[in-house]
Amino acid sequence: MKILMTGNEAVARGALEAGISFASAYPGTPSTEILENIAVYKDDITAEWAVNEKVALETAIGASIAGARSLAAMKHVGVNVAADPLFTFAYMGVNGGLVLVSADDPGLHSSQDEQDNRYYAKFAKVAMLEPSDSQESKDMVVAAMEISERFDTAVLLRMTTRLCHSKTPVTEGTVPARSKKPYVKRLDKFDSVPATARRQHAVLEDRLLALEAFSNETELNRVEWKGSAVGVVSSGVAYQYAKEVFGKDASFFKLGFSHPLPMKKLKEFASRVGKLYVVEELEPYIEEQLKAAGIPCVGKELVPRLGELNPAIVAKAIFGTSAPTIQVDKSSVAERPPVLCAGCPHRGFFVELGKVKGIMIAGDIGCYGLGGMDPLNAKDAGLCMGASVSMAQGAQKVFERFGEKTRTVAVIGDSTFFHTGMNSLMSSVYNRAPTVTCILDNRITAMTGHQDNPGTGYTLQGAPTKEIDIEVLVRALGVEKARTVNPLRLGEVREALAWALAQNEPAVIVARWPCALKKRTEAEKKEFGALPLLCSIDQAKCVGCKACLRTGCPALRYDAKAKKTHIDEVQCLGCEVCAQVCPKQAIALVGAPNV
Amino acid sequence: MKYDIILCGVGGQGGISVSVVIARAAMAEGLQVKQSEVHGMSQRGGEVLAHLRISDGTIASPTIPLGSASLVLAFEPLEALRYLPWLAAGGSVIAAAEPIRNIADYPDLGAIHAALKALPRSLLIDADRIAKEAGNARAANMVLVGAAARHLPLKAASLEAAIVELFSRKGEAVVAANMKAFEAGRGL
Repeated sequence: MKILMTGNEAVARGALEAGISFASAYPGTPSTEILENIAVYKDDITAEWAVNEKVALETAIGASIAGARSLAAMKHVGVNVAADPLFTFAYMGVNGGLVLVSADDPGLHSSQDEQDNRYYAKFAKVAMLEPSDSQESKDMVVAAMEISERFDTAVLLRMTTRLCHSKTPVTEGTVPARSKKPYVKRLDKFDSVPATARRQHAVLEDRLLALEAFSNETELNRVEWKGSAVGVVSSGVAYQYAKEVFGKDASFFKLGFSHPLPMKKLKEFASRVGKLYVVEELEPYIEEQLKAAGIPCVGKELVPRLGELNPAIVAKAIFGTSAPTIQVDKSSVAERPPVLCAGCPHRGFFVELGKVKGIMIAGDIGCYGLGGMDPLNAKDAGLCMGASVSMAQGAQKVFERFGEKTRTVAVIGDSTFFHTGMNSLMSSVYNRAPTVTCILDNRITAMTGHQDNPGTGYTLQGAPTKEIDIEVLVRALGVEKARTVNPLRLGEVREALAWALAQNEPAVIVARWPCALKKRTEAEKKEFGALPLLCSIDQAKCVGCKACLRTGCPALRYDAKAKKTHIDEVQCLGCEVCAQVCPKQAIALVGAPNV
Repeated sequence: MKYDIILCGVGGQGGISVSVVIARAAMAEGLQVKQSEVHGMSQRGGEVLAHLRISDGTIASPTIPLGSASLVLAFEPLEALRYLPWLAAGGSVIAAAEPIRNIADYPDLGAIHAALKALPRSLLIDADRIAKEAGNARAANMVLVGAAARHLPLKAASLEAAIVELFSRKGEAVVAANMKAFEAGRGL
């Protein structure tokens, strides 16, 4: 029986069928649900949230060396963080098989760049598989394990957002009993000292030749012959778009095993067709290698390099055709940009931070990145995970050197601080940078959909665990000026910011309040109270000054005719931030809503 | 036969449940199905979009090309308007009439309704009101499934079975309320 599964669910099922015993990941859209779905298989697989992607891959490598089949999953930019162990592990090879899932995000649905991680397979010199639907996503995890152990290599399984989040039918396979290879101490293999690595580099080059020979044989790379007029080379979900557009009239070379490319088989295919197209998303990864091998083909001069493809884009690019569409006046369809939720604990903090003059605010990756938008305007820069603290440090040093009075403030979330922010903070302490680091601790990894982290007290598979106290941690890193505030109490935030900016050494403000969407635990209900509450605006007192609207809360509605603001009872959680900015004291907490 | 549906609304409206119901009904009838959705930021009040493709033959792309959807099924009128470029010539629009005004500059509702009504095959439904009358304000999404039922290439019984399957773990009362909303939608 076929079951509809997302690509991520299928990868998880594949891990079960591939005999994987250990899996680790750091959450990141579009990869997050892979580990969430693996975590369910408690009897067969140890599944963990790592604090970052480097740790995720390294724990999986440890599991492989110990003899177990293992998996690490991450979003594309996470592989940048994990690149250090990846490149050297490529030299070592495996004991138990290892698959690294990279979930790329063409179109930047929820990312800071749209890098094409297929180049990582070529750069790190590991095998790569590219599924094009959920069935293949599952089956290729199983294939990856066989390839990994047969050729002694890590395997990159390259997914994309569209695959991760599309449901297509899957036929499930059998689940093998768990086993592992024996652990044998192998210093000549698993210790990357220069003498070993020098020898292993030669082994690696031979391995790539063996993998290329396999690439030419395997059914993962297949020809779908429909005549010699037109040939199309494609991989991943782009293959599906090309199939839809070229229809029944073109022959296809469908790449499933895309590093090393099956050059012999590709040359033969190219020689049999009149015109050869390469349809691939993002970069010309296949096209460049075909052209370097002297195979003429048409690719990126027609198919866009930017953004996510779809059948309409491919049809327009290749044939110049497009279906007639209903034209809608853009001005009549207002956008719904993502905003901080009603009741979000970040809002109160940003209301105050945005008012401070003479500072540069370095943001980070998470919901609080939304604090840079109008009307809060509390961000100057945002780069990558953990970078807020270090960018603030570098900027502060330069402002000081050139005698400028500008102070720098870093804004980072709890999970992002654990990820790589704490290393940066240690560097700020060590280098005596008087930065202000604001850790917005909303008690969960929120943006990716509420994953546990070292600050929440629970593991991925639901076990209670040590809860890291952030203020204690920053003090241990050498910060002497640290305090914890309630971000919804504006006076408290204002006072803490003034205090921190008056210090001549690194200072930390921990803003501790749970995400508005988080289901509060019993302990949290005790500490923070129960939700929802409700605020209301006394219409007689409201003068329509819009001061409350400048908090950017989506529960506030301004009635232009009546020149009054009121509160949407369905959205309001009673955080009282608007009440604190109202100059007429027109807003008050009225208790729990009638729902 | 191929039937492409664009499902659109605002985060939290139950659009994904609708997609599951239609997809399961199609699977039960032995049809091919592919469904694609964009998540990530929809929880934070953004638009939700799912593409659902049903066919008796092979489906390649999980997404629907512009200008080729048989049906735009919208849980919110502004969202219906936003996704009209996906509609094929001869396609239908079924949309809930009630707006979700979680943005400051929500356009004139009368103009949105007029634009939707001006289409050759469109149906605006007071889905929230009908769901409330059927006994469950949260089942507005099933009212829309009911209204779409006679357009879909599926048997009503398959949709009913899928609704029962989806809500059964929430208890008989929830199943009954959703079924009643579905029936109310079918009567429109």
